[in-house]
Order: sequence, then structure tokens, then C-alpha cells
Amino acid sequence: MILRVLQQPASRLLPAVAALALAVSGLFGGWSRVDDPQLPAVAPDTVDEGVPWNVTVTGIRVVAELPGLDLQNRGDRWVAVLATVEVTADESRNDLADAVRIPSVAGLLSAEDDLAKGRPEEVILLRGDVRGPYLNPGLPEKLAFIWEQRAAAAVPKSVTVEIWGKTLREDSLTGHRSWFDPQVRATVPDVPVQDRRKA
Amino acid sequence: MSDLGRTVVRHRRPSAVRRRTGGAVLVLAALAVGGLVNSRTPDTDHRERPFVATGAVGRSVDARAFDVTVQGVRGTMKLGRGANWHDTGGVWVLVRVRLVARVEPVLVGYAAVRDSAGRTYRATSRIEQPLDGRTLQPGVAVSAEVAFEVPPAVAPTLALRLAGPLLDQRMDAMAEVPLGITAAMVDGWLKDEKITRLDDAEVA
Repeated sequence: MILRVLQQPASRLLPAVAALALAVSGLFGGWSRVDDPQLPAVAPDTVDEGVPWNVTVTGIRVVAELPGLDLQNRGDRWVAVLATVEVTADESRNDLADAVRIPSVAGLLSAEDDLAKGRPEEVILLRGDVRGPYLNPGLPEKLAFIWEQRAAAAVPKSVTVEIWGKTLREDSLTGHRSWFDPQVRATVPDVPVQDRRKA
Repeated sequence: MSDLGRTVVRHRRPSAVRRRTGGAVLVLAALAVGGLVNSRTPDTDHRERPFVATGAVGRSVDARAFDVTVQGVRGTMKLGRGANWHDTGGVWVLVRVRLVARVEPVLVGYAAVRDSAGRTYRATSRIEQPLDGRTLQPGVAVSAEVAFEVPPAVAPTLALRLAGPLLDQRMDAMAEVPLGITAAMVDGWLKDEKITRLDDAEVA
């Protein structure tokens, strides 16, 4: 029987094998409905561990001005996400603007910019007030991720912060290993916003 | 099956099943050999790694476009630069180097220290380093300190790495000098509360 089946021409044999594989896959749940995976929710002041950095979101502030930074539009305001970040990769990194996003906040200028794609306009190392710093492996630092928000947009009471990670893999063109595929890996829901504009 | 004491061998055309089985075995064998070769071949990063010339403190190391000599190492918790001082969550490591361009003007764009686990710590961007943007002229020796910020636990395993290219050091020369830091030196730095000022660059 088996020999007779195997002696069939490939044009008949292959579709039969494919159908059999699909049927067997169905027996083991291959045709089951898969729900979208839920992103893990992390509480404020809790470390979200991952690569190439660990991130602990500690708060959000809205301020009218920041030393050394100029608003693009008079009357706009700054939204600052405060977080402690520790590089877990093997090298010092300065791509920290990829670590945090706040897409639920309306009126962010960088969200309207095709190049910025919602990245913060500045990342400031609070120790020493350094803009766009390198962070070293194993040395956690407090950072402020800064966005400009339009004056016409409402100041949020609380914000869900997205924590993004990257994947170390070979570049499909060059073969060099590097960090690619920035992707949201966790959320910090309902982080209270402190409005410091009048303080 | 025998005729006059001799064995008669019949030559038959192999069946379709045998042909297909043989073909499948050949394909699997080719895949296995290819996989084996692939697994033993160095990857791109290894193949295009920097050409590292290793030396020792006090001895000149050839980094193709320039020579480097590590003259000494200091450490501190409070780094003075300009009118300010800077604290750290780890420890500051200050490496004094003497650099000489060999043939043409050179910018030493890459300075880092590497620990025994392979982690690399770039020269700090928190301050303006004395060698930042400084072009070395051939034959003119320049001495300066370079500041690094590292976790104290890794300091005794550090080696300095210097190269010309700022961003991409692949397939170019790189000087590497183990710094010879001891745990006792690090303990002393951690207890030192005075401000240590970074030495400026000077023609040596």
C-alpha cells in the first residue's frame, strides 16, 4: 500500500502530503484561534528587565520651560518622563531615545514628525544635566525623556508609558550583529502626571 | 540462480521508490555537510574584527596610524573638569596616554576600556575630554588623560582600547593595553573624597 502511494507522481504526492501535514497540525492545535499577546504591565518604580536596557519609570512631569531647551512654539509645554535606565548590552549606548514612548498623549510635536516617529526630542542625563548621553553597561542612571506638547492639547492627568526594547541579530544584508527591530515590550499604565508649570 | 557453478547477477533498473529515496538521502547529506561547514565558519563580525595590537603599561604600542604608550592610571569618585566637578554611580578611571602620529595627521576617534567579560565602556561623554577633536601631527608627541566611568567591580580587569575611527573599528588597527589596576587601588579610589582634576593635553 505504502509503496503504491510512494510510486505516485510528485504532482499528486505533494498536495496529498501538504494536506496530511495540515490535518496533523490541526490535531495538535495548529488551527486554533490565537489571541493577540498582551503586553506585560509594569507598575511605576518597578524595574522592567530586558535588552538592551532595564527601565524603571518613576514619574511624569509637565513643565513650562527647561534650562538650555527652546520650545518650537510659544505657549507650548514640555512633557518629561522620568526613568532609571541601566544598559544590559555589552557596550555603552546613546540610542536611549528608543527606550520610552508616550503615544497616548495628544499634541506631541514629535508624533507629527515622520522622522521622529514619537521619539522624545531630548534625553537628559540628570546626573550632570547632559543631553544625549552615552550610558555605560551596569551603571543605572536617572534620565528625563522630553517631548514638546502643543498648547492647544490637554494636559493629561495620567499617561500610559510604553517601554521599548531591541533585538541583537545579524543584519540580513551585511551579516554584522547589531541591535535592530525596536519594539514595545511592556507598558506602565496610568502613571500620574505632576503639573509643575505653576510651581 | 547458479549456472555451471557461477553466480548470475541480474542488473535491474532501480525502482522509482529507490530513486526517490536515494535522491532524498543525497539532499539531506548535502544539507548536513553545508550546515557543518557553516557552523565552523567564522561569522562576519569575527572575520572583520579589528587587528588588535596588545602591549603593556609603559611600552609603546603600534596602532598603525599612531603609537600609544599608557603612562599611568588614576581613579577618583569626584572628577574635576573646567569649573565643575562630577560625581559618579561607579568610579572614574583616568588613563594617561602618550600619542604620536606616525605619517600623517591623525584623529584618535575611539577610546574605550574593556573588562574581562567583554563589556566595553566608552570614554565618558559627560565632560569635554582633552583629546576630543584634537588632531595629532606626525612626530609630535601629545600626552593627555582620558576619563572613563565604570562599575568598581570591573575596574581591576580593564584594558584600554584606542583606534582611529570614531564609529566603525572593523578591519582597522586597534591598540589594547591592560591597565594593571588592582582591587586595592580601587578601594583607595572609592574612599577618596577629594576632587581629582583631569590633566589637559600637552606636547610631551
